[in-house]
Amino acid sequence: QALRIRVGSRYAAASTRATLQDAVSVEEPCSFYDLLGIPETGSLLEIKQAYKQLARKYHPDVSPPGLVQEYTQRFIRVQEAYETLSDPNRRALYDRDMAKGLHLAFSSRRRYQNYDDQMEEKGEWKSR
Amino acid sequence: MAEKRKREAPAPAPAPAVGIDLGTTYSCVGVWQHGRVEIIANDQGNRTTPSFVAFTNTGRFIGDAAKNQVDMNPTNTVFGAKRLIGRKYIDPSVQSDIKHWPFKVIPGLGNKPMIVVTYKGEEKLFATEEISAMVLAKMKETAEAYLGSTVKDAVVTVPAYFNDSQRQATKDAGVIAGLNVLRIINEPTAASIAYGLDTKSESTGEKNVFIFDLGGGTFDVSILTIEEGIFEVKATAGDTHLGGEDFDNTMVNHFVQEFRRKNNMDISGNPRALWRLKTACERAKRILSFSTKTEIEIDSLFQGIDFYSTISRAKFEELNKDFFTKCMELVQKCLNDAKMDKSSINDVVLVGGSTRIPKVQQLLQDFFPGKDLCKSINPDEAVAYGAAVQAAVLSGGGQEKFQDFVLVDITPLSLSIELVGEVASVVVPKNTSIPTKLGKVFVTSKDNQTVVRFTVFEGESASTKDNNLLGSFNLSGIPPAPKGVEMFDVYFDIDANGILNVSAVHKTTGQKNHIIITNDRGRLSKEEIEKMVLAAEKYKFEEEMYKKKVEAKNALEIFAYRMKITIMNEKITAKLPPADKKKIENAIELAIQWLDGHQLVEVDEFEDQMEELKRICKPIIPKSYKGAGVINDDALPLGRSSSSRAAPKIEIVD
Repeated sequence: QALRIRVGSRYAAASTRATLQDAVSVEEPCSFYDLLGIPETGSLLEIKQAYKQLARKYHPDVSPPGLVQEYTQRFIRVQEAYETLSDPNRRALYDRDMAKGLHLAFSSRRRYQNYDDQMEEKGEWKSR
Repeated sequence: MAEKRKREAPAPAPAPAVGIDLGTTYSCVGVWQHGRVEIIANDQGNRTTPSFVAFTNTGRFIGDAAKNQVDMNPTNTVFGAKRLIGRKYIDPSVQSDIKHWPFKVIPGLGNKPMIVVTYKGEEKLFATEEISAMVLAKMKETAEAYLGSTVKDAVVTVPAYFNDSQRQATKDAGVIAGLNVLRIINEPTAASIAYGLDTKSESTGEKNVFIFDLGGGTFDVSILTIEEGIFEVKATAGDTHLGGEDFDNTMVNHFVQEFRRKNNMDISGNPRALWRLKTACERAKRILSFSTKTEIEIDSLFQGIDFYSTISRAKFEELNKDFFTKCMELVQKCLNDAKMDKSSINDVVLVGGSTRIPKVQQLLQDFFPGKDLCKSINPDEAVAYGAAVQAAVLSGGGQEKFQDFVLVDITPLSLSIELVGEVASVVVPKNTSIPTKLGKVFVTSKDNQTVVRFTVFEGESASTKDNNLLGSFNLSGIPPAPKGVEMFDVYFDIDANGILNVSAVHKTTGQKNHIIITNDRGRLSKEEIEKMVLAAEKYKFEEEMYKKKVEAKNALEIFAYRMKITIMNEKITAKLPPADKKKIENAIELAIQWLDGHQLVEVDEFEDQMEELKRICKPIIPKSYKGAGVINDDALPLGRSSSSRAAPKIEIVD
């Protein structure tokens, strides 16, 4: 039973998304807007269209054999950019961070994803 | 269809990948060919096949042949395996199902439910995976008979709300059936493909589609956004134990009580009576979808007592009220999860046989006022249709056509790491698009902790004890430090196939370990699967032998009776010396008597008899047949399978 030592976490807020070091092709960190190839003023329609175009290109199901891993990594980042920017709340938070010079692309998914539940989660940790 | 099935395959081109909807009560197979999906009819001409497997003294039957003989053989006919697959014997749902089933289920190793039947006079134990494999093999054969070549690759569907154990077990069933499972896909997603392709021409712009899939055993709802070939699943919810079977069972319970009241007798211990009642209830349920009242009439249901009763649609609805309420709650939950208002749904699509129930339609109509419920796709075939499309996409079979087709599915359940005190810390929330890669930082929970155990769970409960264990691994060699100092990056990688890889890296030392979630305690081992593959091949071989015997016997029987008629035809026998005629008559009579005394002997014994009879009967075999080679038994009507017409396969059920 000595082995049944469990992991604790006090770092919910610090939870992080996969960093670029895992990506097959190391690329310059770029913003979600760069990734989707749209201006920062881009409309929701533009975001969706850009995503769909890129999804068709990079979804692992349609990738050439041998490039599946690379395409998967690509697709995951496109998906993240799309999910963040297509949600007005998450997009606002992302834009604010960008304006502050915080370049959090690909390291912040949970921060934006959990926009709604952040308060809830903090409380949960405190009580433990 | 039948014509095609019988046609000889030209070159042995590899068969295209097929899509199989492995249902609780019925299964369906489709293939993408010549620019469209073909739903393949089985040897009985039915486009869906009962997910039933029967064991008798003479052999094994799957599909219609199995369902048709339940009356006579209720304890050895297995159905509803999907309700057991990937579950533990002690699961409350398993325990309650067992009560309704005429066949026996016992706990096996690791609490896996095992099905007990008597096969050829011997007691046999089967894992659920093996039973599902038999149904899958039947679907594979159905496709092979149609395509004329061996089918290897398949996409198999599961309820969206199936957990990892249930998915893995379904995949194992595919392996046992001799299939290479390209992917396990979600049933409502598959149905949405059928819907999406169906409406492709008329649609412009983005559409939010609500899929309501209520089948024989499971219930799923999914919300998708569809535009120009891109299918994005937004949210899914469901109950893997809610469907037509449950509606039948509430009716059965109702009538068992009625029988008790009327006759002061309990039929619930009699499998045959229960089965007959269940069959009558299922039929009544179907009738109540278009009629407001129906009768139940079962002669000699129990101890010679006939049972007559009526049931109204209102009563049926009342009996199943709780189930219908549950359905609607999940509809609302799915919308909440998708963060969508019901007004933003463009279309509501009905899938699964149970969506024919008027009450279900009415509740949905009330919930989505002013929206037409889309019934244009076939509720029984839509899932197999979509699976066939996905099979073509994944095998590259229809590349030109599917250039713009992309399906982005989601994880139906949250994935978490266990913290101290059985607390689940979610890393991948439910309804996350896949493929995905998400991470979280964890720290040690004890002073001087040198080994850390990462245990991965799936499910929505905050406590891991109510969730489904996926696997665990250790990370050792951590330098001693006060608790909370040593940090670990934990990543969950899920690929497009839904395969989860969990890895952990110690931040300061770079120590790494990972686990690919493919094996958990309840799952079959590689060796067990190999054993089952061999057993499945053996059963298949025995079945083929049995089939050959039946065919050889039929051929002899038909030939003998044919000759019996021929010998009575004076036109033919006029020139025959009376002695020869007598000899032939005797030979025919002998053959018929021999047949009566030899139900199923070896194939060559039938063939020897046939040769002998043919030799003697040669003078009376019509000339016209001679040219066609009647000596070669191929041309005999209802003889060997290669007769020019699609001879109905004769299956004699014991």
